[in-house]
Amino acid sequence: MRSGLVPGCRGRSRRPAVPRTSTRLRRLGQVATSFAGLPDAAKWVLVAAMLAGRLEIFTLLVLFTPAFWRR
Amino acid sequence: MHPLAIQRMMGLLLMVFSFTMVPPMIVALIYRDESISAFAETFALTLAAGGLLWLPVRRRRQDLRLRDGFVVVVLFWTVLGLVGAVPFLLADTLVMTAVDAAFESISGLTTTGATVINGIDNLPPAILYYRQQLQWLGGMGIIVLAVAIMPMLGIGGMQLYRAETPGPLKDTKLAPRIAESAKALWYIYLALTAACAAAYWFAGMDLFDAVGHAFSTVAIGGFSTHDASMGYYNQLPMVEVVAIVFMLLAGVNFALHFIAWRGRTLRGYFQDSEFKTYLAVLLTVAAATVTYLWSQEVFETPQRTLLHGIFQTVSIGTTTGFTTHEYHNWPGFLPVLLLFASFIGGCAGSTGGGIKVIRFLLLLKQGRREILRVIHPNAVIPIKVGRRPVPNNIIDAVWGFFAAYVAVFSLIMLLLMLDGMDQVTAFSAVAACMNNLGPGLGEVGAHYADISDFAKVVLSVAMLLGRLEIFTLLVLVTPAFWRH
Repeated sequence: MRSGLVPGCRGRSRRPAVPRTSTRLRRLGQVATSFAGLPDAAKWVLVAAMLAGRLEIFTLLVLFTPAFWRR
Repeated sequence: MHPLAIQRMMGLLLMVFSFTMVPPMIVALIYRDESISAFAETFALTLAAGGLLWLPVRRRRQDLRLRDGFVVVVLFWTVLGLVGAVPFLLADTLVMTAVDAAFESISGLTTTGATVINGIDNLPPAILYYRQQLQWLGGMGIIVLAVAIMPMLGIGGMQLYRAETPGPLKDTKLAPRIAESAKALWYIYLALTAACAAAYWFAGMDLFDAVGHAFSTVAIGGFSTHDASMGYYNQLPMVEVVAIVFMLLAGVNFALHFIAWRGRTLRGYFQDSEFKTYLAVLLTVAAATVTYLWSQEVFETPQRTLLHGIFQTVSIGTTTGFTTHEYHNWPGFLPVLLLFASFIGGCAGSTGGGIKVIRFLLLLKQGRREILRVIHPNAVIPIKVGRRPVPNNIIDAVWGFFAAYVAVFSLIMLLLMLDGMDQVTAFSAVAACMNNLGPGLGEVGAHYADISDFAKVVLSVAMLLGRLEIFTLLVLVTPAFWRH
């Protein structure tokens, strides 16, 4: 009997554990090999993410600040 | 360091703690429950252990200093966490391994609310009551920790809340001031609990559940006397409304409650930037949650969508962790959005967990200052909270805290995945335990019974790390701390 169980409730339904083998090969999900299967919106978001990363975030953020455009 | 004074203190603490076994014994008597012997044995054992520690050093009445404070705080939570597990082990009505019992007890005392018990409805009343009481006692400890001790130890910018004291701080005597503020805050805590229990009762809970849930609500714990948590009361919408109100109240800095009580005015709340941010964050997340739930047609009526959306946002956002619905199965980004909200957590000085709203606010303000500095490289830009400038060393401490939080989080998550846990479960389990939230996603959505013993031990440490704001524990493993 598993720990943490109370006698008399052994028959309760219990969510089955996720089989480990099925996830082992795709731990990083749909984009492990190619981004082709993603929806367009996700691609646009990731394009922005690439730019934000390359420009060290602040360079982009600054452009969205009112203080930058003032004067 | 005063080891003997610390020993004396721990002895006293254990003796006091042993008396918390009396209420469950009374509950067992009322309900004619066989688990009474487990509590009686724990009572005797703990009292004896405390006495043995205390007797030889009872005359060592030294004043504890700052450095002893770290040791006492860490010992307090670990020792009581382990002692609190003893009734779970001794009860014949319950089969639990040592690891499970320790996990359950630490989860209770840190007011996390993660459980390894599947089949809570079948537990004997005394054990049920005891779990709720663990959370309530944990909450009492947290208030003193958060309002009086953390500011003195200066953990992660919490020195912001330190009251002005003359003279160098290391000479400040800890005990008298802590005792004084603790007393005032416990009255508020007690009053909130009583009001909450009465409200639950009026809303339709039976008296046992009303008191039990009041304990875990005001402590921002999340233990319930039912497997379905608050979902058990799906037919009584008022129960959810009461829970929302009291979770919100318990997530506020108790010092604000104190000021409001003393001055008989609510003005203090709305002058406090942290409180305003706390409400703004929860309102924003609740709006997003309700809108998305409605657009995905998760619930049939607008009323249910609104109620469950707000309830789950407040419950997860304040790190309580009650559930009315299987939120971990909600569509799209919602489960993760709510988990992220739990990182912000409650206000400093509340029973809530997470990073704390004031730190989140300071991080945001510092981020904004960085942008302004890019635009005006030579400008001196002060960071203000409620018109008062915040010293730079506090900003540094908050950033250090955040960095440590992220680093510890990543390490623990990697450890769990190394042990074979899948990514979603690992991420959510660490988040739920470090933020003292409770329920996670994936395999730990409903309970933590099915994960490995190793994972349970690691997550128990995560709960303690979160509750002790990381640095209190980290400090103890630093050689510099032990050097004279």
